[in-house]
Amino acid sequence: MDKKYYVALICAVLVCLIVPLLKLFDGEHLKLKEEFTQTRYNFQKVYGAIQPIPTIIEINKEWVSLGKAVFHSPLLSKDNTVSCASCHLIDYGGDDGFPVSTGIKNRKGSRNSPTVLNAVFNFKQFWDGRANTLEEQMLGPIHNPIEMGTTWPEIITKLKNDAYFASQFSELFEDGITQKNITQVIATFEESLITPGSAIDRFILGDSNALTIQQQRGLHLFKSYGCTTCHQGINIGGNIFQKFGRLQHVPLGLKTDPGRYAITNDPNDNHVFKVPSLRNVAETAPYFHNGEIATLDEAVKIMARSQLGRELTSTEIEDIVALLYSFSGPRVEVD
Amino acid sequence: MSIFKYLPEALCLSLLAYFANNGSQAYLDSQHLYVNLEKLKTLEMLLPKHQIQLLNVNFSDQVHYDRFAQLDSQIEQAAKDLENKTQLQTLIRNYSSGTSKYIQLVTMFKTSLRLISGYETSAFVVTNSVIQQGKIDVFNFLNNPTSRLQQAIMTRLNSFDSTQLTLSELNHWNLFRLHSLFVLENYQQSATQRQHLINLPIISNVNKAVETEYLNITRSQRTLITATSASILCLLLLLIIVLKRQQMKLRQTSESLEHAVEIKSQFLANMSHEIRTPMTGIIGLIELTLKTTLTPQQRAYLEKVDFSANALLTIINDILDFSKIESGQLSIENITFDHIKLFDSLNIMLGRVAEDKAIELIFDISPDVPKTITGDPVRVNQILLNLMSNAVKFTEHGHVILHVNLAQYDGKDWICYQIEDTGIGLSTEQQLRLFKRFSQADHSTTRKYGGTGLGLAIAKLLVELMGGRIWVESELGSGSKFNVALPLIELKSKIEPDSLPGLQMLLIEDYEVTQIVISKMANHFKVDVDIATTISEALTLVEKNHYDLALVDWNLKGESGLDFIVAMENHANRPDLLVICSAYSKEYIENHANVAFTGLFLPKPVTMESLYQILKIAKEKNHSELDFIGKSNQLVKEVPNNQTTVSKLIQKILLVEDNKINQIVAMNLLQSLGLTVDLAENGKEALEAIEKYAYRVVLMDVQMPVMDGIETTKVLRQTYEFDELIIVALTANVTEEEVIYYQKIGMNAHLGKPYELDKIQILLSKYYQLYDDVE
Repeated sequence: MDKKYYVALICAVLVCLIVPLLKLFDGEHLKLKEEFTQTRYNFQKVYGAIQPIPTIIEINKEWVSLGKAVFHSPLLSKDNTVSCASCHLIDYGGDDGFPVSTGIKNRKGSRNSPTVLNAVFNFKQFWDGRANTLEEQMLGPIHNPIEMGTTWPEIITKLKNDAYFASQFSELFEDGITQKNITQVIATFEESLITPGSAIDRFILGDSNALTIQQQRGLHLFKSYGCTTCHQGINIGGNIFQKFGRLQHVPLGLKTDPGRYAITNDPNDNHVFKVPSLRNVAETAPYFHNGEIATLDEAVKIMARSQLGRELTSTEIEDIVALLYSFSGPRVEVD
Repeated sequence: MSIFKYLPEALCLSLLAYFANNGSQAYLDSQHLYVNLEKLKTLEMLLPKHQIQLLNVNFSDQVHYDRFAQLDSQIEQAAKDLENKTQLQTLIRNYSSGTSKYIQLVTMFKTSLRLISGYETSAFVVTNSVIQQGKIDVFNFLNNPTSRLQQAIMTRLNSFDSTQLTLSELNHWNLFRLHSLFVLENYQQSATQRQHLINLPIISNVNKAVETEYLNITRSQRTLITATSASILCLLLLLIIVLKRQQMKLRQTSESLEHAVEIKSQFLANMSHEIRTPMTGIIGLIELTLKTTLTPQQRAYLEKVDFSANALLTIINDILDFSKIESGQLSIENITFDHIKLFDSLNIMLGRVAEDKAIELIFDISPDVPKTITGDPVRVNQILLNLMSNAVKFTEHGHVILHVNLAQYDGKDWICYQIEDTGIGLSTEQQLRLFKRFSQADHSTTRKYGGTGLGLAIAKLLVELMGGRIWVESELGSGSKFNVALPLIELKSKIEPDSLPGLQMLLIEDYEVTQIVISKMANHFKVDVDIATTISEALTLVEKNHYDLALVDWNLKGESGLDFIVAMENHANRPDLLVICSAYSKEYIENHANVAFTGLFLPKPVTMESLYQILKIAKEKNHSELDFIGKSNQLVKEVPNNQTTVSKLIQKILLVEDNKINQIVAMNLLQSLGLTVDLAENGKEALEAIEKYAYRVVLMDVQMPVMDGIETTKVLRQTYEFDELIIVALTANVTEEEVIYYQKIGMNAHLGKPYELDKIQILLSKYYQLYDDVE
């Protein structure tokens, strides 16, 4: 009953409680719901298949600017050669203009890089829609050995060694540089990459002079021929899946990719892709999932044939292509 | 053994760990479940909306699917992180991919049907009727979708010969045919898919999952509460165990302490016996030696040895008493005893010492103090003796007065003793320390006055045991007053001495306080007192008055009381009775004075009793040769008024004692009392001796070889009645229990060792005619 006994007893009690306490401490993150500014948009609804791109009501500007820096940082790749912006040139349509992109060590990908502009309005990401959110999408290129080919621990270490990122992150986040914070700032930056105010949007919002006569003819064809069945909504596409070549054959080169089938292994999903957005389509050549088709004329022709079973006349193609140019809009500057 | 010693703690701790673990697990579980529940509730809210969108897809005014896509995305997000809901997740995944496929078909259908219904026919002559017929066929099919009709229409469409058509008309026809065939081929499939999706029990499953999750949360919360309370219980249990352990430890400690105390008191009893036995020898032999012819130097030395031995015995007694009281072994007797006798014995013990130091020892006993009281005479005596010997010890000159009064306090009768001295006094600080054990007023006191410092502590303990109080009033340098108040249990008849009116007494006394006390006593008997401080004053008074009685202090300032006696020898107005008063014995005075005197002797201090005796004699005018008390040790009232010649009858007493030294001491002592002593070495010899001669008294040592005193007593009591043969235990074992035990086995009395002459004398005087003077 001396001091030793009591010390031993107290130690024993502490030892008994340490595992449960650690467990509780470990589980604390479940409770924490971090305060962060959810980006809000001012959606406008109009009657018709095509919906206008909204404007931004609220966005965390600090995160946007830090996200922009991270987006452009090659530290996110294994050998510090490739950044997000290498393949998504935000001032040039949000893609890189090549059929397929070049990753680290000059490795080539198998699919055309989709535009990052307005990507936030796509219901899923990637050609096959395998990512549900922007944050999820990022994991793809970062780990893909032919794209950035790195891991989160590596990225975090590199960012921590960078004075700018270290200070910026610790300023904005209590826990500094973490995977969650990196993806969050990038996603917020991507949420700022939208192009409202295009001619088509102005037109559907009531400005009848926004489209030329030719473009209005194109719009009529676009609707009546059934393009808007799939290319509709805010992104004029990007909200459903569809089978490539539903009615007629597609050129052989476009038939090699099984699309969603590679993910679901469902025979019905063979050649099924996410319907791509036609926003800024004039700036995102070349076209289709492997970038095989270089011009809009050709792309429109293939689409009309394979999806609608229709052979378009050259006038019709010209009119529709003219319309497609009206889908481009200026990128908003958040700052 | 030691592994199992802490088994309760170990058990408790493992239970604590188990429950704490369970509790935190349950907490985490419930947190997870809450998150899951949130998602399920989201699903519960989203799925019906999604199904509405799904049903709406078919309508022609549903032109874009943003809302549908958004819901689809949200549902997938919510379903993705669900925990433990694989079945539901699969179901949702199936639903999701089903809707995806369905919507692919539906969108195409809508295009195809719109194209078919609005198909332009006018420009082309050949295909006009076929297309017209085809339109009707397709819409017929849609109204009545049977496979037979489907086959018939398809055959008709494919059988149309298009070889003669122009290129533009061929394209026109082919477009119509393609879309019509698409509708015909896929209609059934889309209807089936739609039915399948609608039939999927997805919403009910989600509802069930929500319910299950609520139940799980309730269960995990119950587990949490149970585990938390169990953990708290474990901690409490642990606390109880610790306290229990403490308690056990304390009990052990107290048991061992009790045991130690028992051993200590046993040890003390043994020690007291072991020490007293040799002390008996020492003191006895010293006393015997003092009776032999010695050179003055030898005598002086031996007297000092005697004093030291007695001091040592006192100390031993003190320590023994103290430890007895401390261990609660001392019991207070409650017997009726002669209270006045106490003062006599105090007188005997202290009178000489006080006289030697030229201190007046005065007993001021209030007349209303009862003669007999109930209590423990030994202990009361011990307390008073202690206080008074202290008073005498610390007083260099002046007086020591014992005031005894009755008082009423708190509705009870108290007997109050106050010992007043004119000694060195005590400071306030010293008074506080005074009654603590081993503490004297001053450490230097020990060196100057000796003593163990136990006396007052014992007195205090004894007084408290008797339910009384003890306190001191004092000032440094001006004497002290020690007060003892004891509850007076039984008020016995007071001394109501006859008053002796008409007597004239002359008191020759130089000490003022004594003058007052004695004259007060005398006044109580209605005796008139005149006081003279010096002999010349007395002589003047004698010239004037005739006194029945003159009480003369032997030791006057610069004079001797005997001078007055001598002066009175042939005086005409000689008082009828001359009494010398002193703390010294008569013999001592005779030895130190050059004159012999024939007066009476009264020992100091004067008590009511002794004064009364003297006054009575004066009243009876009995002038015969009265020798009151030869030795101051003798009590006044016990001595017969008439001088009795001690009969020289053979008074035989049997001493049973094995120790040689004790034999010599006891035999000498007894012989000095005028007894013939027979000796037995042990119990067996004693039995033989008693057979031969009928002794009145047997003094029986307890611890002896061959046959001990207890055994012997038991044998003797089989033959002799209690009054027929007096058996007195002689032992150093003086604890209460032993005394009681001796009485039980048939011993009449006991005498302690070392032998105390006066006690032996008092006891034996009941059975024998003893010499008065044993010196």
